Amino acid sequence: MGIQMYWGGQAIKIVLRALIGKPFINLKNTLPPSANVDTASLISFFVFVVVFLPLPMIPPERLQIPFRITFVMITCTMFGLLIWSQCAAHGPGELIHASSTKHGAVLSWNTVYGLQSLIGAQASGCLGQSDWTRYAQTPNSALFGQLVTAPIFISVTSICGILITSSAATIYGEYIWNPFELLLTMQESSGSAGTRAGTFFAGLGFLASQLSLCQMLNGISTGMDMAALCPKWINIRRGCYILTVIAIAICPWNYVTSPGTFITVLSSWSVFLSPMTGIIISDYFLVRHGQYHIGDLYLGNKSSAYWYVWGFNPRGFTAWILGMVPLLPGFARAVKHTANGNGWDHIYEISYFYGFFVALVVHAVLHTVFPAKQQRGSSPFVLSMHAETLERVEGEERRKQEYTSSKETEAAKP
Amino acid sequence: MISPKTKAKLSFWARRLECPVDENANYKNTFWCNRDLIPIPPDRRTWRWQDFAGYWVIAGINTTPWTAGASLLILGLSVPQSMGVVVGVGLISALLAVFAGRPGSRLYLGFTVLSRASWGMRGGERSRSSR
Repeated sequence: MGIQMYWGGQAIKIVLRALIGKPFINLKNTLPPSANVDTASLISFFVFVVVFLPLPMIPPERLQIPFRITFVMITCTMFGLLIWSQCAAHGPGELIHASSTKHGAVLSWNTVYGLQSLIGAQASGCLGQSDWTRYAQTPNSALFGQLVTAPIFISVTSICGILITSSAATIYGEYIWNPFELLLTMQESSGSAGTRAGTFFAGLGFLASQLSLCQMLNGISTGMDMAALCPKWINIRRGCYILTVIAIAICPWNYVTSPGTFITVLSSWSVFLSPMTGIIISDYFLVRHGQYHIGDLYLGNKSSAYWYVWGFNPRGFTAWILGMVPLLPGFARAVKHTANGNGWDHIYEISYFYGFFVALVVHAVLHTVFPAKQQRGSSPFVLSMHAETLERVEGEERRKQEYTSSKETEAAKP
Repeated sequence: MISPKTKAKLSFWARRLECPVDENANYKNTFWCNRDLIPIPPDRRTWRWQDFAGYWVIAGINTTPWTAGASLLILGLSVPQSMGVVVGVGLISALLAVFAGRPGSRLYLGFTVLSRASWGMRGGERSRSSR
C-alpha cells in the first residue's frame, strides 16, 4: 500500500507542476540525499495522504460511484497517452522491431518465468476476490468483469505500455517504462501551455486511479484482515486508517529508489501467496463442495467445526509448507544471483504454478485421507441462535450449564 | 495497581470505542464477529455486473501491467512474444479470479472468514497476517 501511495504522491506532483509551473518544478531540494526523497515529492506525498483520508469513510457497498468516475478518467488517460505518443513520434518507434535476444531452452524457461511472475503480481488481487464478490447482487454478476474485462484490460494495458514506451523513446531518446516518470520527463523537457494542460489531465487520471487502487487492492482487503484480528474494536474503516498510518511510517520512498530489493520482496510474496490461493480454492471446491457450517466460522471454541487442533488445521498448514518450502532454495539463489539453471532454479521459475497446484492437491488429499469432524454438510448462519451461543462463549459458563441442563430435563420429560 | 474507578472508566471507554452496530442487528460484536465479517445481508449486495467490469478496468490499468513489457524484454523476449505472454497472463488471472471469487458470490463470506475454515479458527489469523 505504501508503494501505491508513493505513486499517488507522484501523480499529485505532476498535477501541481502543471498547475504552478516553473516555481514548483525548480523547487529547491532541502533534504539530504540519504533521505531518498526530494522536497517536492515529499510535499506531494502528504498532499496525496490528505486527499486519500476521506475515502475509507465510504463503505464497500457504496464504492461503485467513485470507481465509475475513475474508470472513465483512467481509460481516457491511457488511450490519450497512446494517441499522443503515436502522433508525436509518427509511429510506434524502434523498440517493437527488436527480436528476441535469447534462444532455445533459455528462452522457453524465461517465457515461463515471465508468465508466472506476472501472474504472481496479479495474485494478491485474485486471492482476495471473495472480499468483493460477496457484495454481488446475483451470484453471477461478477463473472462478466472477471472473465471479459480483466483479461482484456490487463493485456491491453501491457501492450499500450510497450507502444507508448517505444514511441516516447523516439522523442526523448531513452526508455521510460513508468508512466509517472514519463509525464515528469515531459514536463521537464517542455513548459508549453499544451504540455501543461496535457500532463495536468493525465496526472489527474492517474491520481484518481491511484486513489481507487489504494482503496481497492489494499485498503478494503487488508482493512478486513485487520478487522478479523480484533473485530470488537476494528472494522474495515478503522483497519484502513491503521494501515494508512503504517504505510506512512514505513517511508515508502525507500523501497521505490532501490528497485532490486522491492522486486525481491514482491516475488517472495508470490512464493507465499500461490499455495494460499491453491488452498482456498481446493477448500471450497474439492473439500467442502461449497458447503460450510457458517455459524461455526464465528465460534472460537472447541464446539466449532473449524477448531481442529487448538484452532489450527494441520492439513492446511502441511499443504502450505509443501507448496512453499521446495521453492525456497531457488528463491535464495535468485536473490543472491547464483542461479545457474539446476533443478531448484527451474522449480523457482515455475513457482506460482508449482505452489498453487501442489497446495491444491495436498490439501484435498489430506482431507480425503484424514477427514475432519463435520467436514461436509452445511448449517446456516442463524443470527439469533448465533448471538445466544456467543453469549455463552463469552465466559458465562454458569448460564451455559443452566441452558444445557434445562434442555436435558426438557428432553427427559416426555 | 489499578483502582476500581480507573477500571470502570477503562471498560466504559472500551464499550464506547466498540465498532458501530446497525439498528435491529441480529449479530453482536464479539471476539470473532462484527458488521463487516458476517455474511453480507441482501440489502448490502449492491454490486452489479457493470460495477465489477469497472473494478477490473481500474485493476487492469495499473503500473504493474504497464511496465510488464520491461521485465519481459529484459528476460530476452521479443515484443510479439511478450504480447503473447501478457495475453496469457490476462487469461490465467481471469480464471484464478473466477475460482477464488466463487465462494464470495455464493456464500457472501469474505476471504478473511473463509480462511478460518481452511486454516482453523486461530490459524486463519496467521495466514492473513502473511498476506
